[in-house]
Amino acid sequence: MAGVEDSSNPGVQHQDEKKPLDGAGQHINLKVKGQDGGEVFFRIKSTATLRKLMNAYCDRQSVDPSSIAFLFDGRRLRAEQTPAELDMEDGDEIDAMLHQTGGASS
Amino acid sequence: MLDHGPQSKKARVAGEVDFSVFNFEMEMEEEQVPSNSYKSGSSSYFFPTAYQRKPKYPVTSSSPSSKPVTSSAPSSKRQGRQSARDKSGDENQVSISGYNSKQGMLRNKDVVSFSIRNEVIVTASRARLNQHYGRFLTVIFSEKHIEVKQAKEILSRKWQRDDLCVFKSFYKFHTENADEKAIVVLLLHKRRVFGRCSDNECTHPSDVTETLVMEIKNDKWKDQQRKIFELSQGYREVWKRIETEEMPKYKERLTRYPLEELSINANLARKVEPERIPEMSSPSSSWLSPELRTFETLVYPQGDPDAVTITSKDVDVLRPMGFLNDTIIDFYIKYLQNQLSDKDKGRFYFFNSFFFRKLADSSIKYTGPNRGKIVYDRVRKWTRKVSLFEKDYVFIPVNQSLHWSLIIVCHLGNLGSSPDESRGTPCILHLDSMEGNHEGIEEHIRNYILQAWIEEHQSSADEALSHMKYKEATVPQQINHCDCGIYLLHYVELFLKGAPQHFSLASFEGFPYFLTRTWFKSSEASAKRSAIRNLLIRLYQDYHSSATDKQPLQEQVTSSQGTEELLVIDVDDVCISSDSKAIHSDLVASLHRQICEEVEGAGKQAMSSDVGPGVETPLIVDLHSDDEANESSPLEDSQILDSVDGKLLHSSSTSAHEHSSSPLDFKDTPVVLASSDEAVSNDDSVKFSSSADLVVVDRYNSSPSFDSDDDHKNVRGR
Repeated sequence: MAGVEDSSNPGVQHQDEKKPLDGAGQHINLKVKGQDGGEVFFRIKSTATLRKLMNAYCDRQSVDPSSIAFLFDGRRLRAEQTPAELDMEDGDEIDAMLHQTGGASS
Repeated sequence: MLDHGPQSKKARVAGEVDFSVFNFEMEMEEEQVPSNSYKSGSSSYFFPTAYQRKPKYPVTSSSPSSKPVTSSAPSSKRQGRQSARDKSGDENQVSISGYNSKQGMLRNKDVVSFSIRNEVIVTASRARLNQHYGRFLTVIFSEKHIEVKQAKEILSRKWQRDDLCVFKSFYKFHTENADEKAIVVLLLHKRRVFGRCSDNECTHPSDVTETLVMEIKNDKWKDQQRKIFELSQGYREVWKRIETEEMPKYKERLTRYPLEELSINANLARKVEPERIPEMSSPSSSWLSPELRTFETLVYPQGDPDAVTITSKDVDVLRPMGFLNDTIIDFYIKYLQNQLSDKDKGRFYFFNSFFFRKLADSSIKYTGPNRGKIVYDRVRKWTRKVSLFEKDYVFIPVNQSLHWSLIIVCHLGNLGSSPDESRGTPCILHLDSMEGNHEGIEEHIRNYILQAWIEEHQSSADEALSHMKYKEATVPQQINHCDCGIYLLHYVELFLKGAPQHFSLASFEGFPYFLTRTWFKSSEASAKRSAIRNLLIRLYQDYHSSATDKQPLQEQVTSSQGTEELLVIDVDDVCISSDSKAIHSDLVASLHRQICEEVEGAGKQAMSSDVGPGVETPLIVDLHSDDEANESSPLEDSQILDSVDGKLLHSSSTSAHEHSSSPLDFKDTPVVLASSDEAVSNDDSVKFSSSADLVVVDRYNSSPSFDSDDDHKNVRGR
C-alpha cells in the first residue's frame, strides 16, 4: 500500500515513514474494522477531523453514516474529533459497528 | 362506565344497528329543546346531549342545568372542553347511566333487540390502530368516549372524547358513490399524568398518540358522521378545526400519499404524527412540542472525550412504542453516572452498549484453544485506564436479537479471596425484563472476567471463577413488546440508588432485598420515555441558550438599540432544509418587512434627534435563497434598494465577506446571518489543506484508491 501512496504523495509519505509522530499535521495510518471483520485502511492527517474518514468509510461500504457507530478503544467517536486530540497512534484500530436497537420483538 | 348489556354487544359485533330508533330519540329531544335556554352563545348548532335531557328525567342527579356548557367556543377549545369535562365529569356520568337504564325501560316496547345508548356504532371492514391491522372492527362513539372493540385484545381501546385531536374522513373514489369506501382517520392523544419532574412545576404527561384508520362504506359513513356530530359538539369542533385551519397542509399530504397507502401502511401515522400535532391547540405534549422539532444535535457530556452525540433521530426513538437504540441507552447511563457523587463514581463502572456486542461478535468469529485470549484482546484496550477489580459494580448493557438486558458484575475485587459474605459476594447478575430471551450471555461474561483476571493477576483463576455465581435476577417484567430498553435504564437507575455497600447473595435467602418482581411498577418505567425525552430537550436548550449567549454576533446584534426583538434570531427558527425553503423565504420576507418598518421609525427618529450613525440598520444576508427562491421571493430587488435606510440584501449562497465589497456601504452594520444551523455550526467544520488529508487503502482491493480531496473541497466556507 505504501507504494501506491508514494506515487500520489511522495513528499509526505517519506517524511512520515518510520518516524515518531509528534508534530501536528502528521499523517497516521488508521484501520477501520467492520463487524464482519473487513478492514479498511486510512491515512489521515492527525489534525483533520474524523468526519472525512467516517464518510469515506461509509461511502466505501455503501452504508448510511447515521447507521454506523465508530468506536476507538470503546469510546464513541464524534465526527468533529481529530486523531490528535484522541491520542491516536499510527496503526490504531477503529471499530465500525452498526447501531443497535432493541425492544424485544420476538 | 357505560355498561353494555349482552344484547347490545351482540348488535355491535354484528355491526348492524338500527339507527331509526336513535333518530327517533333525537327528534323527540329536538322538540323539547326550543323552550330551553341552551341556544345562548355563539353556537346555533343543535346540541342534543345529556344536558338537555336532564330536566326531562328527574332520575338524574342535580347537575346545574343552566350551565352554558355549549359555549366552548372553537377558539378556546382546550380550556373549554377541559372545563366542560371537569364540570360534567362525575355527576353526568351518573346521570347518563341513570338516564339510560330508565330509557331502556321506557322504550322497551320500541326497542326489541337492544337497549338505547347515546352512541353511534361504526363498523369498519378494515382498520388499523397504530401498527396493528384488523378486520370488522367496531368503534363506538359516545358522548364522552370513543371505544374500539374487537375480538383481538390488542385492538381494544377506550379513549376520552377529549383525546381526539384529528378526525377526518377521506373518500377513496367518489363521495357520492355508495359502494365506495370512506377512510376515516382519527388521531387520539391520550394524556396521562404520571408524575412531577424535579423542578416541581411542570407535570410530565405521558403521551400516547394513537392512530386509528378505518375503512367504512360511503353511504353508511355519511349517515354515521352526522350522528356522531349530534352526539357531542366536541366531534364537530375537532372536525372543523382540521377543515379550516389545517386542511390545506393536510390535503397536500394526501395527494402525496395515495389514500390506499393511508389505510394500508403506517405512513399516515408516521407522516402525520410528528408534524401535525404540534400545531394543534389541544395536547400540552412536550413529546410533540416544537422543542423537539428544533432539536438538532446534542453532545453529552460536553467536553468529555467519550461523549455521546444525540441527534433528533435518536430522540425520536423515545416516541411511544419506539425501540430504544444504543445512543439513548449510552446517553442515559452517562447521565446517571454524572449524577453520582464523586465518591460513588469510583465504585461503579459502566461499559457502553457496544462492549457486549464486540465481545459476542469476536467469540463467534474465533475458534481454537486461544479463543478466550483472542476475544479478550479485542476489547482489552477498552479498560486500559481502569481496573475492574477495584470496582464494586460493573454494568454491561447487553443487546442481542433486538432485545436489551443488563449484566451487573458485583465485587470483582473479592474474587479469589476467602469467601466473606460481609464484604460482598462476587457474582454476575442478569437483569432481563423478558426472561429467557437472552441465553448464552454467561459464557461471554465469564470468559471476559477470566481473561481480565489473568491479565491483572498473571495467574489462572479457574477455581475462584467457578465459585462465582451467575444469577438471573427476579426483576419486574415488561408488559409490552417495546420497553426493554427503558427497563434496562430503570434497572440501572434504581440499582444505583439502592446498591448496598456490600452486595451479598447470602443475606436474604440468596438474593438481595431490592431485586424483586415488585421492584417498581411498569407504569413507572414507561413514564421514563417522556422523562428522558424531556431531559434531552432541556439539556439541549440549556446548552443551546448558553451557546448563543457566547456568540459574539448575537451580542453585537442585541446591543444595537431598538431592534433587539427582531434581531435575536434563533438559529433553529431559521433552520432550513431544502423543502422548507418556502417557509424560509417567508421568514426572511417578514424580517425584511419588520426591519423596513423599524428602520422607517428609526430613520425619522434619527432625523429628529440625531441618533448614532446607522448602527441600528441591520443587514440580512440570506445564505440560503438560491436563484429560484430569489425569484419567488415576495420582495423585489428594487424594493430592497428603495429602502435606502434598511440595507437589505438578498445574496445567493455566498459569504458575507464577499458582499462587503458590494456597492452598498456596510460599514458598521451588524450582520445577521439567517442561515441554516449547518452553516452556523461551521466552527467545527473541516479545515482542509490543499494536500490530501486522507488516503483510503483497501486491503481487499489490490489497487488502492484515493479519496479525492475535491469531494470535500466544496465544504461551505464563511
